[in-house]
Amino acid sequence: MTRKSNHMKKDNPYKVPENYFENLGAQVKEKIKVEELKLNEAEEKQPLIVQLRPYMWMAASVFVLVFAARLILSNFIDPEFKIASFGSDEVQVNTVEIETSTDEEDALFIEEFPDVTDEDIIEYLSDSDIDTDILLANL
Amino acid sequence: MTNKSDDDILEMFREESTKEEAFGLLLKKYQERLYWQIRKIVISHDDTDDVLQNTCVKIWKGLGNFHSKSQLFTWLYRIATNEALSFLKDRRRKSFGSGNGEVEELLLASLESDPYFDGDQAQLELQKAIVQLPEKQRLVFNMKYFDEMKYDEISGILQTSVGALKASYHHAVKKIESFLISKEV
Repeated sequence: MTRKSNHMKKDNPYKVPENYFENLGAQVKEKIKVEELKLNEAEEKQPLIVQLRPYMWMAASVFVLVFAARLILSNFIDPEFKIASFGSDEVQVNTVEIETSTDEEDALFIEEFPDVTDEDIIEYLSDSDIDTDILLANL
Repeated sequence: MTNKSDDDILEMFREESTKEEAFGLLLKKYQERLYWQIRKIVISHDDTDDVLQNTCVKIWKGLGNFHSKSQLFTWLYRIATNEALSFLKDRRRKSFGSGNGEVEELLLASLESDPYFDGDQAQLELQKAIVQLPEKQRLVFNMKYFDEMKYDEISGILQTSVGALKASYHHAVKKIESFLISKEV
């Protein structure tokens, strides 16, 4: 058995299965429940990459901030200070100190070890297998 | 059962405790009108059933955000019409069709094989003529001729000016007349 509609004002040649409209509400409610269940499951079963996405954004933001801060600060810092911070000056100073402080160091050495003679030093160095000619030339 | 107004139903729907009851009342009030709106577009009962159920799910999801800028029934009709047209568009895409022709043929086949078509020969010929109209003209003709809706109402649903609707209806009537005359000869 089928029925026709009252909602088409002209003669309606179409019909619907018997009790179709009576059962439609229950079918729709069932479909809505299924849809909502799917939606909840989809939210719960998000892939790891989706779950981690906010944290990845945070990490990326921090990285960009640090990089930008370094870039900005490096433009404002005095170039001489930058060189000093890498220690180049210290290296240069140390080199100069090495080159120029031999007399002072010798003086200190003599003060601290008054009993050590030049001969003792030569004898020690010759035992240490160092080229004596070079050492003597630098005395 | 007392007939509740649309505003009463909407108010009930916004309360969590009466949401399902309100939706049941809304369905009872509008389901047949929405069914026939969809049926006239997709023709077969089974397709109409699928589209109507999808329409109802969308109404459930969107009703909480409905604000009375337009009448509720206009909003419901618009969702149903859009869903039915999307269904046809999807079918057109799946059948690799490049124009309306192939969908019209499918609709015609649905009409001829539909176990839920109960018209006589004259009604069948009229429906065949309607199915072969361009989509917009078919919509307008059905709403005007069968549902006797006012142009203002159709304009709200299809978002088309009244002037354009009148022109569409006029063209549709002329084409149907030509089709029926050619069948008589």
